Amino acid sequence: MRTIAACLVMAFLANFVPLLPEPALAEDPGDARVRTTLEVAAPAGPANEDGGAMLSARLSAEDGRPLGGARVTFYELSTVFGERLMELGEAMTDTTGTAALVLEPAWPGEHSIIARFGGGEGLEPAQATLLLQTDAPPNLHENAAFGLEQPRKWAPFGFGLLVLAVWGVLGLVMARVVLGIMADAPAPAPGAVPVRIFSRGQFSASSAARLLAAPALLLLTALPVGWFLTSGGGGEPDQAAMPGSSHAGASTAHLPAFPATLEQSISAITTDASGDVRRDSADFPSDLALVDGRVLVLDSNKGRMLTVTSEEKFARTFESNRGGETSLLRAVAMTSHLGLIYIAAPLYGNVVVLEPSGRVDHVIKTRIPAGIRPFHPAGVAVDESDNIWISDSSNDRVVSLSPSGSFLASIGDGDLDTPGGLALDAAGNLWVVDSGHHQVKQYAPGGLLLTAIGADQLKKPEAVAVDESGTVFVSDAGLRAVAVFGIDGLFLGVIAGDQPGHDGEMASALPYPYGVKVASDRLYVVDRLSGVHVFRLDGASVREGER
Amino acid sequence: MVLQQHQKADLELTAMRPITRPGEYYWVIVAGLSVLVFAAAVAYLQQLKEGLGVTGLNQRVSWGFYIGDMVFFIGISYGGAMTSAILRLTNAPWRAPLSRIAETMAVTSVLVGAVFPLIDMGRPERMVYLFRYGQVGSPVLWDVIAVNTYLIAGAIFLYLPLIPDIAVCRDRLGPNTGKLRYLLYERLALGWRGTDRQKRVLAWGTTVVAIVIIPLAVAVHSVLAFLFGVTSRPGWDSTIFAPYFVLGAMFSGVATVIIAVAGFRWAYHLEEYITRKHFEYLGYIMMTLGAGYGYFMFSEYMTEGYKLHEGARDMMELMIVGRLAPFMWLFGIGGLVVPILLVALPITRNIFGITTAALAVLAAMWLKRFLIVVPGLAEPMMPTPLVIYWPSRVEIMITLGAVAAIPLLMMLFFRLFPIISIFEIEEVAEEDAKRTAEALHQAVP
Repeated sequence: MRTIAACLVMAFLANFVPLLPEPALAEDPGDARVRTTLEVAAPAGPANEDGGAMLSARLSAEDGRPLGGARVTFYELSTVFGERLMELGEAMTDTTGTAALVLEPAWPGEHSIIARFGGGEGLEPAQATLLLQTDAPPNLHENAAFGLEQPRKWAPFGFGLLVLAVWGVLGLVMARVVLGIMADAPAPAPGAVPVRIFSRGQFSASSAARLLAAPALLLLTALPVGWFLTSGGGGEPDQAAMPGSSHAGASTAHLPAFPATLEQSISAITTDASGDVRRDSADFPSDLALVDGRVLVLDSNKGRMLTVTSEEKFARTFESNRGGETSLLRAVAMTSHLGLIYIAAPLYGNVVVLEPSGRVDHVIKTRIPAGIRPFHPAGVAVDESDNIWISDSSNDRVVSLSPSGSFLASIGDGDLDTPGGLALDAAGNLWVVDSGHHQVKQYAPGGLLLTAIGADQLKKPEAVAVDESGTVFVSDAGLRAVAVFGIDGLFLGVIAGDQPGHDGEMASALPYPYGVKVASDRLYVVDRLSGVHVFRLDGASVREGER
Repeated sequence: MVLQQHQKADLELTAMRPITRPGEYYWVIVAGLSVLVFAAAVAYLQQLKEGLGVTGLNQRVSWGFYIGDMVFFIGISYGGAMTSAILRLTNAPWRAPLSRIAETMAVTSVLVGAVFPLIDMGRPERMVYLFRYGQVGSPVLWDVIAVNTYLIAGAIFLYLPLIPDIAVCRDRLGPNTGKLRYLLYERLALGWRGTDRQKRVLAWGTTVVAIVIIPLAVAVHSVLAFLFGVTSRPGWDSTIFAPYFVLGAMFSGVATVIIAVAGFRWAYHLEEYITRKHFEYLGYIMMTLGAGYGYFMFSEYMTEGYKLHEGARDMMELMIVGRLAPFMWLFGIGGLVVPILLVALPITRNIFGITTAALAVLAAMWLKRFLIVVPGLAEPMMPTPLVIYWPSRVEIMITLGAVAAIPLLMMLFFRLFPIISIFEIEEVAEEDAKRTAEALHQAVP
């Protein structure tokens, strides 16, 4: 009896285990795990008749030794219902360290493929990305066979017959009524002249003109309408460029490199000692803020703020209430000001102000004039007067708000298309990423457009940072790099960008760069797929020379 | 009582007044409505050029005002057609002055409503794909077939009783009315002389189409309901949706008939033929349908609210106490309780009170369609936040244009054809006289 009671108590407690707070994750001291490298290769040809592509990823240790028996997970970047990784499947590496998986593309075009090794057993996690172009037709979905298959098959024909029967009845009614009434119609009176619109006289120029008038009028009306529709770039609308794609040419290896050294990388996905993905791993991080030497990262898909620990891992500092007024879900814009962190959140349009410790300092409820589309903040900056600048990407404008959230002014109306990240320079000028025009624009505090840079270099700019010397850093998901511009707008080169890998395939350390911040001679970049990267800027002399 | 010669002349004069003397404000009203329609066309042109991005629709809420408008306009059309058909089949003698307005409203509103799926498509030329690659298992394909079948049936239902009246136009207005117009009357009248054979065949045809159009309207609106009901979205996933839509269509349709009748009665001075009695009868029908609709709604929310499945729970919360609650309660009180009271209470049961009730019903039923279409899409099926949808200026302008297009088309139609059915009023008077004579014959052998 006592045993049964004990079992019941244990079972009862077991039910509550998931509800208990997660025990603090012990960082494995003296982590001496072997660094690993994962390389994903483009498929050589179709894998099957359906146009599937064979994806393969090779996992090796630091010394080049292939690692067999490791689990590699393949994902595809999906932009449906927000950006997220769609799991394609898992595969184990063979003795050559290669894991392979057949991708059956759901749509023709570009696919961003991510392969991840979770680490474990003394091995560090690794990640690789690949931009794949497929032109295979999508696989048509086929319903599974089940008991109601026959009725389902024949029901449409039944409905079709019913519709035909209705049409038949209507036709019969019309025929019978028309014929029945016409049968009793009076005969035309002798000598009566039938009324005709056009006389049956000789075909004359005037009758021809009358005949042609209507089509000519239609044509004249159609011409301006056609012109209106086709002007301004008709035809197929631009497809949203996938991260990693570019508007001209897939590779960006030809661009000059700006001198910078990758100093530190904090992987988005980390694993614990047993190889399981840690709950503190970042899920599509988007931006970062630097406060008192701390790096704070906005973990967009999970709606929370992470910090980078001394062990070069992420740790949670703020977990927002997903549906509440402090929700950070899908927020992509963050900045720091006077030791506080400002995050523009899209759910209620609030600006959530946090302390670096994760405590909510206050929530600013913005009062912005309604645009034609829902407010969608993509960039935030706070000036010396504590006024807040937010780019409203959906409504093509940048708004400034008082510290309490009251609307002050709007800039960029008419010359911005989908504004993204914001940054303020030392002179108080506002730099705005104009994503739609592939430019970065500088505005005076009063809203006057001063300059626009990057038209010839940028592909898909996301965020901008300006250092004390006036050098402008622009993260670009199309270039898969950070583009650097001098104070006069001169293009100085790119940081990261495509480099040839071991197999000759182009790869970048920044497959999807987004948030970017600069402090002293360090450049911090948030990559939505791979994590946070810190570059030491070796180009100080170049930048000094620009001044 | 058979109409006397002068009564007949009066009736013809009144019925053809919009054709001969439309009134000094006619063109002002036509111009005003045309401006709204033109503004809608310009807005649509902008949408056609720039794409659906100019609307408030987004990746999640891909059905908004436009699909709500489609359900609403097609719904009021069915309501108009079914009201006329049922009254015709039950031989309700008071229907005669109303049937033409109800039938015209039915055809014009289905014409307007059927355009909305095209407007909702960013690339309307891809409509052709529906026929090239259409799936016979898809309710969308069947909806297009059903709506077009209904449109043809509705046009026949409007045309057949119109034939004798077109003949009146042909004979009374003569060739002086203009060559084109006279030719139109001559051809469409099919040589009508009012012989017994012609009357018999016309009565047969009208009855058959009236019989066909009732199940057709029910079927068509059910298919429209299946567009929503066969999905597993919370708020749409309901077995009651088909009858719920049909009843809602009739409810809003009768309200529209009341408004149209009140409007044209006032504009064309039809007080002699359309009296308070007609409004009371239509008001009773509207009240009964409103009570039925309220019952269906209660039944749906009761069963959903009791079980509270995961998706339905959020939906119920959103509608009953959440962000959409003010609209929902506005519908319940303003669109059901108040109109029923306005018709039920003797003090407000007059033309003004019943027309006010109909206006409230119409506005509320439009709101209800919005509350059916949008929250079902806004509520996520994956753990993502609720998406906010708000219509853009383009959507609002196109909707206003569509609202204006219906009276505009009706006014233009009545510029060509009699607004009240001369033939039916005469027919009802003849039947009335026959019944009186029979009664007299039985009383005084």
